[in-house]
Amino acid sequence: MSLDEEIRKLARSNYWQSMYAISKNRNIQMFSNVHDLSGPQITMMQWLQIYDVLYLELAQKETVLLTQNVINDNDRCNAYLHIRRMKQEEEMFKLKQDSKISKAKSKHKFKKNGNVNVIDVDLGR
Amino acid sequence: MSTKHVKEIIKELQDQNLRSDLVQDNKIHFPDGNGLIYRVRMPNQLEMLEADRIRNAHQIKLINQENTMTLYQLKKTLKEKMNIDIDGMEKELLKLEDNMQPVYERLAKKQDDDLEGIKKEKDCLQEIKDERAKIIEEISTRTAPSIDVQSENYCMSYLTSVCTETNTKSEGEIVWEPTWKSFDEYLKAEDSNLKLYAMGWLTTLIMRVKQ
Repeated sequence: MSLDEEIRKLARSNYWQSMYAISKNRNIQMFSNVHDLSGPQITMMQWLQIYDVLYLELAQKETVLLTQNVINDNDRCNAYLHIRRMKQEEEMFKLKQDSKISKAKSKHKFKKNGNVNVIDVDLGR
Repeated sequence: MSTKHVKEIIKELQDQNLRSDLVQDNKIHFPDGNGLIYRVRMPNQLEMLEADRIRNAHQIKLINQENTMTLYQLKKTLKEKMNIDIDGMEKELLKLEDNMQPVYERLAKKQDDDLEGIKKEKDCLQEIKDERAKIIEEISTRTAPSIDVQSENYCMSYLTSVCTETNTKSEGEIVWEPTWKSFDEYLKAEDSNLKLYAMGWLTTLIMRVKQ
């Protein structure tokens, strides 16, 4: 088992997930050292956070694509994280587009020879 | 020490089960097979500064020697004389990473009970990973003689010499003492599995921290 696989196994374990939850809520340190975190500790922190989010999504049954088996299998978990990220990027792009369109849709007023002209721009979709 | 032997040790390092104590503090403990326990610890700021100085000094020493090449020169020579394109290999690595995306998309949609479908996609991923590993090994072997890689290794050797400690029991108390008294002593010491293990674990310990 590679180092990354072993760290992920630890990070999704009940023990470390509980430790993470406690440290988050009560500001208790998880490791013996507070400063100078090692590479494995940094990796561990990242995976603890990711699995924390995934367990929450699993409990809330947000999608049928996420199951306990998916969480336990690194390849399937990576695959799920990949499509999750793609979905988030898509949503962000849509939000930006919506915001641009709503700005353009607003009425533009300008004065010409003392008269107020109103242009109503509707780009639609 | 043969390249094959080194590879076997690296593989063993990778396969070794990771215990919780590997993340409980910023040190990694490991046995040497003869009953002694060692550990590598994170270098402090002063040691990191000294490591940088040692790397730079070694780099200048190599530049002034004959038959040495920078990574850039070596890449150019490999391409011109042996038709080995390191930059092309690096691009290929990125391409292979991109090739994983559609596999991930298919795999993510597989249900738990579709064991055959899951296996098929996982095998496909493994093939790409194996291909990437081959290229990474090739790049690593081909670029090893460069001044850049050699001075980086020299720097890691220095850090290994100062950050490796041996567990010595003194009247029931556990005492950690530096394994080598100095960098010179480390360099003079015979090449051993201990040196390789220590450097391997130290690289693991400081990976991502240096990035």
